[in-house]
Amino acid sequence: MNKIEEIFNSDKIHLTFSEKKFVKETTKILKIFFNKTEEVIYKKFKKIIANSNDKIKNKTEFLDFIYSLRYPISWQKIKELKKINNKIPFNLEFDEQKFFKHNIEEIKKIINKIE
Amino acid sequence: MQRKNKFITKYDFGNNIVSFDEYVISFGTSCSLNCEYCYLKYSKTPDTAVLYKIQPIEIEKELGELFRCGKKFFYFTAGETTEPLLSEEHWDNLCKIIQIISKEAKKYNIKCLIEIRTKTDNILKFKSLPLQDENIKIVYSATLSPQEIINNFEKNTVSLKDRIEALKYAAKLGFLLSINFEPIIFWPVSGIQKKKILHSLHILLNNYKQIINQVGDIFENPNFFLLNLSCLRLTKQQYKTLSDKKSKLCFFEMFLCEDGKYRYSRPLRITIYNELINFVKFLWPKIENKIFLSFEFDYIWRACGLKINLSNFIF
Repeated sequence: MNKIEEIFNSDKIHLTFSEKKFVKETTKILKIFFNKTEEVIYKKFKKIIANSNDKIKNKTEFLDFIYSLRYPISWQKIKELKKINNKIPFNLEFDEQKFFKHNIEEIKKIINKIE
Repeated sequence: MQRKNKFITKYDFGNNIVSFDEYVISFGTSCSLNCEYCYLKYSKTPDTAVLYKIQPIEIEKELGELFRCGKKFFYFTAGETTEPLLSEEHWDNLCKIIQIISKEAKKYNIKCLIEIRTKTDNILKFKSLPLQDENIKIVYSATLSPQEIINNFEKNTVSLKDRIEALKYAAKLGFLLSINFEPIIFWPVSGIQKKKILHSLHILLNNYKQIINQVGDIFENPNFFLLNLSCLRLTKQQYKTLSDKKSKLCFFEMFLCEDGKYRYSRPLRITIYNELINFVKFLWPKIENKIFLSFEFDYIWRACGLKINLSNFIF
């Protein structure tokens, strides 16, 4: 069994079908650029489950890690913007002037810069 | 081959994409350059490049319908369904259509720009085009990519050096001149961590800045028409097929946009555009109103401080 399947079969994490699909797809894409992707993901998984038996908490932490690997530039921005308006599209492709009424300059700084 | 559909079709950009309202001239299909990202590789086109038989009466009829709609300016593009300078036959075929457009434009008193977008240097070999008149202007549009990108993803095309030489020759022939940085490909990628991505971005920007320095005389040419910037776009199908093939085009931080295409994430695209725009503006401040973000959304234009004023490009 490969490492990703082992994670999916673990009783210490609960992942839905679409979450598993996303993890698989992310592993596949990242492997094109970094061949030790599976090892990195597995190591992080082991670390997460060593600290907690809460399946849902583990899922949140694990997926957060996967998102940060997949979208190293955008992930923190997505999280920050979601706190302000939970309805914003995940891909950040939207007109900020239509979505946000206030703090527009602050939001522009988050969304339009890499840092 | 007999063309079954129209020779001239309106390009469908999708919602909120800024465009010239381009019309595509289809005088042939498919392309032997085989660029790894080209949509032609993923559509039902013949394996080898095919030219259509030019039917002047049909084309005149299509243009007549178009030119009677009330618009006084049209932008045609000839590099969408095949490479316009792929072979001498391609060029001859296109010239025949351009002559018809020129005749009809005069008849209806319409102004037209016709963009010839190429990754070849064949302009150096083929007969020149005596087709600049008061109604119609031809834009020689060179797609310039860093040599590393050409080596990896545009293997059958000519080198950057040869493309630049051809562009400079086109300048001597009196064409309007356009420089295309399209597609801008995030490559090489030195790793998956944020630090490595930022380093890769730095390399990418330096590569393009070097090209900008090499074509300084084009930016200064009175016939300079447009600097076109556009990051890589992949259809859903392309993204899937390319990722199955482990293609390095499938950068991980890409998102599906509302027009059904994958693009690099918004902060990455805006940073790339802004850096290049600021670099060009610093060297040639007057270029600002000649910068175009092809296939980009209006909010990306705004984020880059560009005004959407297409009248800058109409002669």
